[in-house]
Amino acid sequence: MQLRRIARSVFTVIGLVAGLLSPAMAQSVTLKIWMHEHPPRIAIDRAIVSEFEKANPDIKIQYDVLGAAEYSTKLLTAFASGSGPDVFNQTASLLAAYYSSRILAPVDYAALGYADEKDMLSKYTGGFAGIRFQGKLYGLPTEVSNYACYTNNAYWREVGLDPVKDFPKTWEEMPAIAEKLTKRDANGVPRRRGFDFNWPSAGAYWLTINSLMHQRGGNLIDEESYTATFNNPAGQRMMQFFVDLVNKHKLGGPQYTDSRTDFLGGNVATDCSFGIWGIPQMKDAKIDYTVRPLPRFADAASDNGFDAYGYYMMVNSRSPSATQKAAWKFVRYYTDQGARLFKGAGLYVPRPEVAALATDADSKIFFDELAKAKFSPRVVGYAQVVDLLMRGRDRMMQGGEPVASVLPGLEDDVNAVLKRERARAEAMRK
Amino acid sequence: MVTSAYKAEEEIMAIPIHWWPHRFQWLERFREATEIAPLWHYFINSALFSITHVIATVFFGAMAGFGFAKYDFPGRSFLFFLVICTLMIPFQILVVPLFIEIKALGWENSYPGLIMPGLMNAFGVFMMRQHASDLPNELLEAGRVDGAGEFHMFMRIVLPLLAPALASLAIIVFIWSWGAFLWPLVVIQDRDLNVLSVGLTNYSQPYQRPPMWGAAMAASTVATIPIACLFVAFQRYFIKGLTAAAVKG
Amino acid sequence: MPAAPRRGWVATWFSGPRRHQWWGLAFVLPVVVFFAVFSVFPVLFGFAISLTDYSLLDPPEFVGLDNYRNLLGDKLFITALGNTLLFVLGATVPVWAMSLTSAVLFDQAFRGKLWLKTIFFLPVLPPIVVVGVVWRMLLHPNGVMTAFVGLFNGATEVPWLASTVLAPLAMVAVHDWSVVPFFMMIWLAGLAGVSPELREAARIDGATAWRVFWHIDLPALRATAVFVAALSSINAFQTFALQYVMTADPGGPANSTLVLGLLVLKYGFQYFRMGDAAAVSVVMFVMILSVTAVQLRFNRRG
Repeated sequence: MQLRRIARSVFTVIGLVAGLLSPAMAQSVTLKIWMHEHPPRIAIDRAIVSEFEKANPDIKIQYDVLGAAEYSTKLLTAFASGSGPDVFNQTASLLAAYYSSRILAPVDYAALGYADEKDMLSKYTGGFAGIRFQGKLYGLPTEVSNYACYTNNAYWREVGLDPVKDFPKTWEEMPAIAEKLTKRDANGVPRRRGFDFNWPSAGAYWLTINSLMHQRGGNLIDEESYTATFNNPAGQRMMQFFVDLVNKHKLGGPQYTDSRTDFLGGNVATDCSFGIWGIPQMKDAKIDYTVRPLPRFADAASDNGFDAYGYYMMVNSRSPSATQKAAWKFVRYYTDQGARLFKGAGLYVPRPEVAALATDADSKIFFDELAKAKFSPRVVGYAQVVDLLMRGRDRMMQGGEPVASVLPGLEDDVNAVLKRERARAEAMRK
Repeated sequence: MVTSAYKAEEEIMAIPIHWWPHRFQWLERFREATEIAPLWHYFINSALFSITHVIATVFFGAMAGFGFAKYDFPGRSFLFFLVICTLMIPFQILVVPLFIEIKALGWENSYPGLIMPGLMNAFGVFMMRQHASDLPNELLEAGRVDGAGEFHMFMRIVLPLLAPALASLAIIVFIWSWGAFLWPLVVIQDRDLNVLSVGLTNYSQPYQRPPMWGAAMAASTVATIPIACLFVAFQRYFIKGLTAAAVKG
Repeated sequence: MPAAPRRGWVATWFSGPRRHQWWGLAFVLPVVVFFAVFSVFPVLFGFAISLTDYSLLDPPEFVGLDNYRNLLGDKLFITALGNTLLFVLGATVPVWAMSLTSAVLFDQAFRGKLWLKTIFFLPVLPPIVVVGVVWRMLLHPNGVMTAFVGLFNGATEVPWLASTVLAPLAMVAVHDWSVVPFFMMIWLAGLAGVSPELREAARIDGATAWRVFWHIDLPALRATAVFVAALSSINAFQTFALQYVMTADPGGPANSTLVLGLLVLKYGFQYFRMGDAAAVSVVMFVMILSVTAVQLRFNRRG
């Protein structure tokens, strides 16, 4: 009897304590956040996360950075297995598949603390084009970027060239200037490349061919009709230009380490695959640099530099609704830190107060180019399409097949993928 | 490989080539390898992965081999046939369905998901059955007359007698598991959970960095040392085990 | 009473003198259950997936034999099949020749044989991924192999792994390098089984070394030969790790090293086309099974 009474009182106390604690416990939410690896951003991310946790003691955050090369695969695998993150970032060109599989939660304005879409957009200068699907928004931009060219001034001056005045305005001038900057060994093998495109990176290649295709007045893929449109004079001339750089002028090619890495390592004199976020990296690598706009074709039909691309922060539609609310709260907190992201990592959140920070000449080039930039098409079978395009390119560059014999089949192959993936995506959304 | 692990980075790709390091950097390469990626995590995961496989295959393989060799129960030939059939299945056909199965069990990206599918090995059963068949029946009968339980008998009489064969089996399984690549590649997303063979690719094809050959070679050395040690210590079992695995598998 | 004989049967199994035989079932049960869950079921499941369109993100959709029909016109599949067959060719005939030759040499008595044999065996030790990473470095355009070739022709850059012609050859060469010592050991085990008396007798009869090898050793190695042939081709059919590790863009350049093993990964985990991935793996399975069937037939006849 005695024992039972003691036991009962012990349980009552435990119950009371638990009862007192439980409101705090019940509301505590853990957010799983995944971001792609961009080294200068990570420290800022961590600081933002810990501040947010301090400001919101009921929200715990589990923040993970995944290697950029495997980010896309791992994200999709995780979503497929139901273990995807609650908050994640991803680049616009890949999002069509996410949208058609209903991974993306539509923007929750109330949870973000905005009155409605209009209220939110009034705080931004743009950048939402990549995240709008059939009229609705599914995330907020954390970075809108475009590439431009960086010169290694030391190498340019070494051969008597002025990086500002002598920088080629047109692609036609590029081979001769690049040759001057190239250092070759006795066998003619380039030991230092004067200029090279970033061939190995799928993302950079996609932006490169789309941008140059735009300059030629064409479009690699028509997003509306979902068809490839590059087996035409515009596409052939562009491709021939690429192949000539590698096989005729022997300035570089896909067989070398990517030009971005080699530029930082001092093995490439001119690279056009850094965004404005490259500036801190130049400073880290102690490179005296100049930013120049992308050259245009002499008879360019369109005056555009690199296509713009955006990274968006999105919320998993399969997370519990309380978690989603907390997730949007975090998204708001994160996107309000645009100034820090810009200053620390060169990532441009397209808001007026961030744009106001960029007053120097380098930033001006990026912003002027951004104003002229187009967006690359977003297609469901993106991974397969880029793969096809890269393999096709390598058949010409490394396998020596002529452009005219590769392009027709390549266009058919891309169209087959687009047709298949679109039909599938439509079937799934029904 | 081993010499490259001690060279300075610029020396590895130096022109003309340095056949032997001019400037030794003993620990530098290893330090770098551990900084770029969690090399020791990889090592521990590989060890955990392989050792679990060795223990499970050896124990359950011996038990099943003994069961198939010395007992006559209904369905014995069918079950044995079933197990042997799995020897002919290439792993590629299992990857996709196993991945979906593991995902359904909620084991993806975790140790159970990594370890479970390779936990047992039909070859082990086959090899142990051969060896257990050679054990004299009288031994078991004598044990029974003495009143020993069947499991007790397996543990006390059979396992010790199978020891040399088990050693060969353990070595083979260790080599197989240590080198396993496809399954860990597919099932693990988390950097810290990866095994050495997958982790190695972080050095040879890192993202937006030139390959770090020095670190890659240091990590390769780490990945080879355990097998080299086994080879040196148990050369006889090693070659015997490998050839036995091949000839009978 | 119809149940009586049945009870009798059960009784003999459960409580009769054969009762302990049930322990056998208990002993094999863990293994049987394991294989049922992690081998037999997934294989059947794999066949089922190959009949669907499944992206993992959305529920699978039954499409019948469409995936197989599509493979016939699938350029990636045709390319991968061709590359795989070429790889198998390169990873079998030369391997047989080299491993048998070295086994015959090591079967002779000479000084330092044990040491040499041990050194020769070393390529078998490192895991295949390590082999790939190390060779990738050696085959760097300005790497060790280029320097070696450069000693003869002055080359300073050779695109070993970046040319659509050289890269597939490099895969075969590295593969062969890593497996020849292993098959040599198997031939040696086979040679050890050849009766020395028979050889001696032949030699006394005045047969040349070559004739002894041709008429005594080779017939005795028949079983070993069938085995080496089968195992080397089965291994070669399944290749993918070297291609994955050694090329900058797995399967590249221009799909010249894309083999079926890589295609399964590409379809499954890069394009998220699980149905197609499963269909390719079923094709691989059938190819490997037919090699095994041929081997079994040879063994039965022998």
